[in-house]
Formats: sequence, structure tokens, C-alpha cells
Amino acid sequence: MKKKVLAMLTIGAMAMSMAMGTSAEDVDKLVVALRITGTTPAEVDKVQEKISEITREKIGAEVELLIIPSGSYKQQMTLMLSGDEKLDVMGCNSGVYTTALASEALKPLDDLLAEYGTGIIEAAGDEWLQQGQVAGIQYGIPVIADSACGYGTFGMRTDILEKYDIDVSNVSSYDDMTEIFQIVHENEPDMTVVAPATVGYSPMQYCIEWDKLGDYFGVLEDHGQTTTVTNLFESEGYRNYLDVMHNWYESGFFSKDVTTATEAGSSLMKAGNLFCYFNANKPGIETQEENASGVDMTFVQVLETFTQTGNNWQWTIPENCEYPEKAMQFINLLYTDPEIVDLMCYGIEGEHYVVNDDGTIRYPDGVDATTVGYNMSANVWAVGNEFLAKVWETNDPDVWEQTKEWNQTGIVSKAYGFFYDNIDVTTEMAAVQSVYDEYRMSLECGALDPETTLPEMNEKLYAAGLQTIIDEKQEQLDAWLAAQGE
Amino acid sequence: MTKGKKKSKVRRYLPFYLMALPGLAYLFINNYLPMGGLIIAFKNYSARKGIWGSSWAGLKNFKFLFATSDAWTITRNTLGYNIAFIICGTVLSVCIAILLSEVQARAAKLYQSVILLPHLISWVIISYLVFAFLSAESGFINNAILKALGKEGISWYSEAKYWPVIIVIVYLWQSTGYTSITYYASVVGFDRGYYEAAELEGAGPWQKIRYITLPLLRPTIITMVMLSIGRIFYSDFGLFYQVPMNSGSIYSTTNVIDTYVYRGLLQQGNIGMSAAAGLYQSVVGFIIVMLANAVTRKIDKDSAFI
Repeated sequence: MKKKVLAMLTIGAMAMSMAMGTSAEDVDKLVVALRITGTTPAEVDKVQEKISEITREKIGAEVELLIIPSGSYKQQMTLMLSGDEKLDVMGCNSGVYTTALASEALKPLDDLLAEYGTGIIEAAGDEWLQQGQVAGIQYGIPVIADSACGYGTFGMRTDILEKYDIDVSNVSSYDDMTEIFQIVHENEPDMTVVAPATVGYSPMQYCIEWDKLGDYFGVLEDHGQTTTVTNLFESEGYRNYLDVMHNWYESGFFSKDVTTATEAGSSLMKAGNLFCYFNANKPGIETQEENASGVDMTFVQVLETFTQTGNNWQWTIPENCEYPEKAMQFINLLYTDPEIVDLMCYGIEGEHYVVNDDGTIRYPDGVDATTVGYNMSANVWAVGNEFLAKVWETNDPDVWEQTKEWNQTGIVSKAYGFFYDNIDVTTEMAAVQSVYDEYRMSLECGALDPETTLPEMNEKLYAAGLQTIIDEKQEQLDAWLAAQGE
Repeated sequence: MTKGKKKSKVRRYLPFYLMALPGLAYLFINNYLPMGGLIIAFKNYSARKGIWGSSWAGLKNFKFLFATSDAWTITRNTLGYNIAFIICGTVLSVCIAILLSEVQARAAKLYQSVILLPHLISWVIISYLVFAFLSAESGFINNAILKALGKEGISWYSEAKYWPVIIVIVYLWQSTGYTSITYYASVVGFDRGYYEAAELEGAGPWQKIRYITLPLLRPTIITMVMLSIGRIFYSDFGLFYQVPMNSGSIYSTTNVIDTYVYRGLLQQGNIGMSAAAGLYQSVVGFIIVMLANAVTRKIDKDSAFI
């Protein structure tokens, strides 16, 4: 008898908890995934509650922010998409975007955009939105931020430069950098001279002189000023890059453990044993990186400023999304509502930042980069309409105007706006990617001698079907160019 | 009459079936239900259309495995390492078990705990312990050993040829303590009478091990080896993914089927191809287990499974 009572009680308790579980979901909840360079902020809960207060009223939905460090972002997203987990709004770089498209995990957005995204269309313009289209269908909403990229940029510790009286005003090539590195290496033998910026990426991430057309397998050389798709790994530019890196590795400028590094450049610099890491130049780069590394930095750029295609961060709505209309309404807010944008970028006013008299913002008194509960200032560009955000005090107050101008500078690829869809060559893609992964880090961080390994890699790439991918890309590009001409 | 007998038989065994029920349910949910998912290996998976709605792809997903030498490399690595693990692991665990049984019981407990400890450490931590030895810049081997001998440092994480040895050593260090427990338990369970009789006859310790312990251990060893062969086509993910720090240039000697599937799914996001590689693993694994069983039956009929 006693047992029966106990069983009934247990069942009752379970039923209760289930009923309670459902009743709490009165308001629709949107799960929004975005990436952070660094670690997930501690007070995300507070900020998302504040955002939800606004969204409950404006679009009738609550928001749950899923802020994931960049090193694991792609894996986490792939896992969530394939595991059919709840995810309503997903931020994508070109890697995540291509992968998600190949498994048809993204919703087509044309109808939703027309109905609920009028603010986006107004803010971004049709031409800008074209970057989120594949064969005329809108799958992604590109963020409004810097699109031109200042390649070959090096961020160096200012105190070291001053200590050895190094002048960087005339630096314009890799060779000039070699000289600086040599001086630092000789005087600070225990210091790592240079490191890649991102975990799992080689420095090539920021040393680009070609339009990679999404994935490096088949590129447009010469900053995309040609329309013939060629093999990057046989190009002069790539070989030149490898020779420089190999020289730097052999000279001891890179750590011997660079290929297995588990910490980002900014973290290594913060820890105090790194002189320089690679980056991409843009207005406000100093604030962005100094907030991450915590030291005074000097930046020089040795390659061209260049805009390639499909390099944008995009907002997407996965097929798993429960409330696509509300998801689009939320994205719309990211392009139109300064209050939401500031909350996403800097947290709560008075608690995570305070406003100066001139309108710029700073940490509240007694708070700094290491103690603040929420700050995404390194990722302001990825939030939506960057130009709506407040400006951090170390930046020029008109940094957004400078960015708009910056986007007009530099070389623009002839394929700008083209998106390559690899769905018909997935077999070759997988095989080629697996060959590339075997060589990528060791070769591009300079650990291997390109003289012997590069031909070896090319041979394997062709055996895995690289030419098929290049041909497919050329065909799609030709069709796109023809359509543009019309 | 017969009906009643049958009934009583069911009645008699019912408690045993009930006892097995949770295990069977676990087996069904964990190992049989997901088999339905193998269908993805033959589909062009589309999240929009779902598993059933996706179009059929025939054997297309299997093609990439064989497009490069990947299928051969991962099969060779998986089998090669597991064979090395089984042989070295068994020899070492039996040795340790016998040594433990020869020392005093209290000391044996201490040794046992010390040898078992690595088994309780997570692979992530082990990978950093290994890194402390092998780091090209600050590692123990390069700095304390090779330098003292006046030799050049080696970049361990980019030289594939050293890894077969490193992986086997790390595996043995981590697992031997655990596997030796089974053997030790059998050895201490042997009838002391045999040993006393042997001593009276003037047998030394070496002879006792050779003529009493090892023959008595034979069935245990065969069962343990059979169990290992049953998993010969699986590999410890942590050992092969964490310990080599996912370094690309040593894939040729560290990539096994499990890491290959993982990389395929998470870095390329292709569920169909990952499922295909998983199915390939299961089919080849099944064939090998059946072969091993047939061989065992020839040697020792009682130890074979089927």
C-alpha cells in the first residue's frame, strides 16, 4: 500500500512539473546564436532580460542569447543544426553559411523579408542584400559593417617598438616586417615574435591577395581582377606567402608549437609573451584589439585593402526555427533599433558602460575589461547595423562615417556579390577538404618547406577532385556574370 | 501437462528476465534504435525535407571515402593500433597481475592504486600531460633529454612517423592498470593448494608462474582478448583526437575511423557522408569479429561466442 502511495506521488509530481514546464512558455522565446572573439560574458542573463523587456512589447517574443567563443562556434552550430535543436536566429560567417546551405538547413527568407523586414531593406539597400542571395534566393541577411578588409595588417606592442626605437612609418612589405621581427627576436630571445590571430586558423586568414570565392578551392587571383577561376595552391601569391612564413618559422619568429596553439593572438599578448599578431585593418581596429589584448598596440598594413565576395557575417533563420516571423522581426530590430543594438554590443547603460558628454561611451568607474560583466565591443560589426551603435571612447566619435568611407576604398573583386553553391560537388569537397586539412596549418604557419610539400599537396588535391570543383565554380561564375551583364 | 511444465519454466526464469530487462532496454534504445538512422548514409540529407523526405543518393556518400586513400589509411590505423593494444596490453597486464600477486597484500593495494590512477584522468588532461613532454618549444623531451644529448629538438606534432609509438605508450600507461585488475582478481582466486604442492616438490617462483599461474589464467586471457576483438574496429576517441592535438600533419598515423567521422560531421557538416563512414565501420567490424570468433572456435571451442 505504502509503495502504491509513493508511486502515485511520484507520478503526480512528474505531471505537475510537466504542467509547470509548459505554462512558463507563455511568450514565444527566440534562441539567438552569435559569436564572440574571447570568452562568453558572465552577465548574459541580465542583458537578455533587458532585451526581452523591449522585444516582448515590440514583437511579442523573448530572447535568449547564445554567445559562443569563435573557436568552437562552427562546430557548435553544425551540431545544433544536425541535432535539430531549438535555434531561431543564427549568425553565420561564410564557413557556417556554406555548410548550413549544403544540408538545406536555412530557411529561404524572401517572403519573410518583404513582410517583416522592411527596416532591413531600408537600412541595407537591395545591392547590399544581394550578398545574402544564392541563385536569386535570399538565405542570409548580411550585417551592415565594414566590408573592405585591410589585409596583411600586423598589430605590434607599442612598448617594445619604443624600447628598441623602431620606426614603423615606412613599413610597406613583408621584408620590412622581417627586419623588425629580427630586431625584436635578437633582443628578446624568450619572446614569441609573431602569432596567428585566431585559434585553428593560419595567418593566411589575413594575408589574402585573391578572391577566395568562399572556400579557397578555386580562386580569382590578382585581387579578383580576373574572371578565370584558378588553383590558389599553384599561384604565385600563395607561394610567395608560404616562402615568407617558412622563413619566419625557420628564423624562430613563430613559436615551434604554432600549429597546435590553443590560444588566440590577443590572449597570448595579454599573457605577456607575444610581440605581434596578424589582423585585418579597418577604422577603429586599435580599440577593437586593445580591448582584447589589454596593451597599447601599433598597427601597420603591408597588403592591399580589398573587398572579396561572400566574406560577410550574415543573420540567418534555420529550418529548426519555431517562429520564423518573430525571428525576422527580431533581425529587423537589429538593423533599426539603436537601443537593442547597444544592449547587444555593450550591455546595460550605467552597469556595463556609461556615456561621456560627447556621446562616446566607456567603462563605468572601477570597472575594466577584466571585470566588466558584459562587453561585446570586439564584435560590434557582427550585430546588425553597426552604424546604429554607440562609439567607444578610444575611437573617433565619427568612426562610423570613416567606416562608410573606408568601404569605398581599396580594390573590389569582380565577383563581388557572387555566391558559390557547392551542393553538386559535395563528394569532391569532402575529399579535397580532408587533403587540405592535413597540410593547412603546418604549411601555412611555415613549419613545412613549400619547395617539397606544396607539389605533394597539389598532386593529392587533384587526385581528390580539385579540378571538378574549379570547373563547377567557373560555370556558376560565368552564369552569374552573364546575369549581371543583363 | 506439458503446458504446465512450460508455465513453471517461464515462472522459474521470470526473475532473470526481469533482471535483464533494464540492460536489454538500454541495448535496444542505445544500439538498435539508432540503426534506423543508417538510412541517411544513402540519402542527400536535407534539413528542410527531413530524413524521409530527402532524395536518395545511392552509394554517392560512400564515394568520398574511396576517392582518396582515406578509407585505407583509417582502416589500417584503426586495426593496427587495436592489434598493438591487444597484444601489448594483454602481455603487460598479465605481467603486472602476476607481480602484484607475488608481493604482500598491503603493498599490492598501494601499487594497484598507483597504476590505476591514470585510468581516472580525462583525456583532455592527459593530452596536456603529453604536450608537456612533446612540446617543440618547451617540452621535457626536447629540452631536458635531446638537448642534454646534444641533439636537435624534434617537432613531435608534425612528424607522423613517431606517433605509432607515442600512441601505444600513452594507451598502455592509461589503461593497463585497469585491465590488470581482472587478471589480478583471477590470480588471487586460484587455489593455494596447487602452489603449496609445487613448493613441496621444490618448484621455484618462476616454475610456479610458468606451470600453474599461466595455464590457470588461460581462459580469462582468451575471454578478455575476445572482448577486445569485439571492439577492434572502434577506437578511443579521446586518445586519437585529444592526444595528437588535432594536428593535421600527423593525420596519416593518427586518423582513425571515429576521428574521421567526427571531423567529417563537425567540420564539413555532412551528415550523409559521416553516416556512410559509420556504416562502413560497422560492416567491416562485424566481419572481423565473425572471423576472429571462427579462429577462436578452432583453438578453444568453449571460449568462442557462437
